[in-house]
Amino acid sequence: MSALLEVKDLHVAYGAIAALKGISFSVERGQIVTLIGANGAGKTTLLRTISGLLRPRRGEISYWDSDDIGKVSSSCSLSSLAPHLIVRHGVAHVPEGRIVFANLSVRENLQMGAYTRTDADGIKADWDWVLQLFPRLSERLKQSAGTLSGGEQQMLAIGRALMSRPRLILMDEPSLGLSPILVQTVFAAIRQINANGATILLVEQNAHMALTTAQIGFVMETGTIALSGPCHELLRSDDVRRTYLGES
Amino acid sequence: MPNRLTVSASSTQRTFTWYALYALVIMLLSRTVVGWVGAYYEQILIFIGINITLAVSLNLVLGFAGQFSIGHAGFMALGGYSSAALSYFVLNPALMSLPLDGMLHAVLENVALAIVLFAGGIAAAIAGLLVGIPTLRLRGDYLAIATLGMGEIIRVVILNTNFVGGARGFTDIPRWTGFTWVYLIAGACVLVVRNLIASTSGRALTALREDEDAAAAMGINTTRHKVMAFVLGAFFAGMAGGLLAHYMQYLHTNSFTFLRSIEIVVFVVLGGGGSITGSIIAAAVLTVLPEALRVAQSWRMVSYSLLLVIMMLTRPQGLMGGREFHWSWILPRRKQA
Repeated sequence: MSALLEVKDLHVAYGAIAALKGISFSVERGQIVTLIGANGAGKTTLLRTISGLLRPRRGEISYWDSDDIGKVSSSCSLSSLAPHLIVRHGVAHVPEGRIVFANLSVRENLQMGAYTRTDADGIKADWDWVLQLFPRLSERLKQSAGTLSGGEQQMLAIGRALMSRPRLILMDEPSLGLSPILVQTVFAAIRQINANGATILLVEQNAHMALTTAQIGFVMETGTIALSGPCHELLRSDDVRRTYLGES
Repeated sequence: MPNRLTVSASSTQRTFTWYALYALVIMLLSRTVVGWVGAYYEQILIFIGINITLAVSLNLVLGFAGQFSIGHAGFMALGGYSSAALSYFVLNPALMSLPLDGMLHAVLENVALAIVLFAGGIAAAIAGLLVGIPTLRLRGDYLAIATLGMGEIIRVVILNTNFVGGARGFTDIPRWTGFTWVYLIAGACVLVVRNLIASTSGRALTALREDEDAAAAMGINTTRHKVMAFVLGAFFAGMAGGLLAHYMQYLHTNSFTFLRSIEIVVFVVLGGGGSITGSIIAAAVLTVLPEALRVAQSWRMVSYSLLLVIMMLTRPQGLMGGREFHWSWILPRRKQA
């Protein structure tokens, strides 16, 4: 396996307030990697920095771009790129709070996902795949996205990200505010997306779901990584069980 | 099916056919009805046309791209003054010095008008570009204040520029324009905005109005699209200024204060942001209203403002609420195969 994303000594601040204080970790190709942690630990800040919406004070984000058969073609530094260019390198961001374009229809939202692409056949293939993954969306294509239920909006946000055919998907709290049954649906979809070849960096508060879905986990605490390891080990760790899984 | 949003060749052709038809109707009207109604009503019609251009061009920035710009009068002033300067100092003297008969003179006059209007639009567009690149990084109310300040700066600079009249105003601008030109430009503005909105770029604009971060995460260059909308809006505002200059034959910076900008914002908001039809109707109604309310005499502006308040209370989403006029509203729907 080879690294797809490597973050080194990343510092991000909002004005004088430091949000990330030297984060280093890497994501291997083909994995689901999860970042768990309490509110304010810096998980969302980290994702927003990787996708270019925030600029780091210091540190390096390296990304190894590859062609469709997985051959590494180039390495690039994401920390100096604008967000719209980062998408073109195959990094998609599913923002927190299932932000969809509320006044556009479901169809238009999905079309926006393929904004950077020109390969009509590939777009068609991904379109079919997304609708097969989320059959609920195909019933609602003409409806404006703002009128969807919370779960459907989350499916749309994920589907929209998939339409750019990403190699790395950054998912920010996909289970936020969803009913338990919908959480199961969304996580099943995440596993399927991963099985289809995309690498996933998953930020979650639902530590149990995240750790049972991902292979590698990082525990974030106030801007640093406190703990890391394979998920099955983290699930057994006393610290994690007490703090994030609510066990005594 | 994920159909790409591109304006096909046949639809470009259709657009031109429609525009040619529209131009024909406008010329026919100017030869007939406009002559019959008299100068007072003709002036109201012309102001409606100019206001439609202003409202639709601002709607592109405010309604479709969601950028709260309140400096539209500044672009209008810049376009008006630069086109007037070009005609007053260069083209009109040149035209007068030529020994021409009536017919040829009229033709050249129209050519000259087209040149100065375009120049006015370009001047405003360049200003839009220079102002837009730094300010469009700002969001919401900050952008509103920046554009407000920009409009006032343009106005004050013109006020202190002596060769265009300064505080006395710019006088003796040739009267080259009338009903036909005003509505040709208004029609062109509507068509350009409509086609832009239906294109991939237009979809990108509406996406960034909905959520700028999410739009950037889709791969949309948000700054470039915002600047593009801003520059195009400024271009048509400049053209509108040029039309006003060559109809009124007189320009004064007092007509381009921020209250003028606010008035254009009112057209857009009242018509419904994101609806071209709404902007057209609101511009027309709100231009006629102060005239129609002359019967109320000294209560005229009070009742005008009151009507605005009532309209906003009863229809906060605007007259059209983001929807567009469609032929199916008046024509029987064709049977679907």
